[in-house]
Amino acid sequence: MMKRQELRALMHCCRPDLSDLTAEEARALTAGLAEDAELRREWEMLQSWDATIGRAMHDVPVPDGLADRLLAAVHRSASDDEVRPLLEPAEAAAIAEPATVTRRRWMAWPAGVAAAVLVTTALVLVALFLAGQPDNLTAAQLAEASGDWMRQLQPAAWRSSDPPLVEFPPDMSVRLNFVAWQPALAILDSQAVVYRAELPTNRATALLFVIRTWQGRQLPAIPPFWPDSTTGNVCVGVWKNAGCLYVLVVPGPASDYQRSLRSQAVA
Amino acid sequence: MCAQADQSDGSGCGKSPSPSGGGAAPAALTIDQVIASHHRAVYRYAYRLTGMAADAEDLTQQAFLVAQRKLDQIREPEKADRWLFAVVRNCFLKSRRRRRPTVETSLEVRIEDIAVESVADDPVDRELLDRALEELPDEHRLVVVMFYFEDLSYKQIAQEMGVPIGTVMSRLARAKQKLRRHFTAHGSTAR
Repeated sequence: MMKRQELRALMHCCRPDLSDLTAEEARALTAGLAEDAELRREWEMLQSWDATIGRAMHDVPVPDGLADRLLAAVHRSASDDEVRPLLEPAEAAAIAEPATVTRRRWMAWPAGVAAAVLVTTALVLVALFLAGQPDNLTAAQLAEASGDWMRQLQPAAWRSSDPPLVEFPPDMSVRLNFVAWQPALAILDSQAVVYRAELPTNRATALLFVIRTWQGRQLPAIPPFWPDSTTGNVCVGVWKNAGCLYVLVVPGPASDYQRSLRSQAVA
Repeated sequence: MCAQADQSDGSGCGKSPSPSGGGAAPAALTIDQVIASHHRAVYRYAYRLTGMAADAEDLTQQAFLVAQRKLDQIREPEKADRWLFAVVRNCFLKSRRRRRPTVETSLEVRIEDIAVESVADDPVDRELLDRALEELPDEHRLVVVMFYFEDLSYKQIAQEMGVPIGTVMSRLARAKQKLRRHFTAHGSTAR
């Protein structure tokens, strides 16, 4: 025969249908409830309490948009491969071991500081690097540099067919008829080609450098009406459009340069 | 009846539960389906463990990230919730141990000392229940949530947590007592 406190212990833990108990425990509790009115009263209150709390446990409002946020998180994790191995036994063991936890915490500080210093240094270096890049060059500087580019051109490298019009499109602002082209690979560390045309007035040779580069963001999007440089009786205008940096070189007076451009397409 | 959590190390997120279900052919579950079907229950379960909406959402997200990696272990979609609950439990325990590594105190209780206050069959005030659960120690709250939310028997709880049945009975009895006292102290037994 079970003692009263043993029966109470069973009452506190078993669910209504007594299925949690062994056959012997269930028989003992049933007998005890039949004999003991106070115990029966407690049992009824406990059962009522359990039912009430059991229902209330599920009464939790779910925040709006939770499913969307979860989906976004798992998809982001899948794409970035950022899923931490949450379930690795070694990590759990490390957490369970206080000494290891302490050591790692102390290690985390210098590691964090070192990481911060590295990131800061990298940012400074990137800033310095970008500051020294041609992107900060002015149109006048680029125009001046075009003299060097012209000296690099190879007379035998001119081609009259298969111009790379897709990758290096001549700007529609230029109304010259190009007759030849050649790659010019050493310009601003970027891929570039140069197109050649003859001016209708004096048959002088004009050049249009087309440089595919991210640099030159500060340049105008259309060719300047007045050339950026007129040094040596050569007019040079610089602009950037649709990912390509254009440098137009026209020998002769500014009027020849201006006649090389469509009037409605100049700044 | 339900998937059994792998508690061999007794720790939290350190382990995934054992596969849900037996020899049935694996269903082609996607994580989207699992989230759509179970996110509410998992969130509610997590909320009952943590008592905080933000923590619950974090825990829910952790559980589904684990599920994403271990999707092949969910062989019976209808039992996926139990599997996910086990993951949430493990993650919860892990986070609590990381935050507050404590030595477990004696949880034994003299059942005969527990009084049974009168209980009304009224709707439970949600905030009151939140606060009552919040005041419970993690170990007690975990047992209570497994008992009431998952509807597990104390034997199943003992098995899943890897602790003796007597310990579960003690924790459950003491936790119930604290809950009742909390409600009584606030002027209502179940309201």
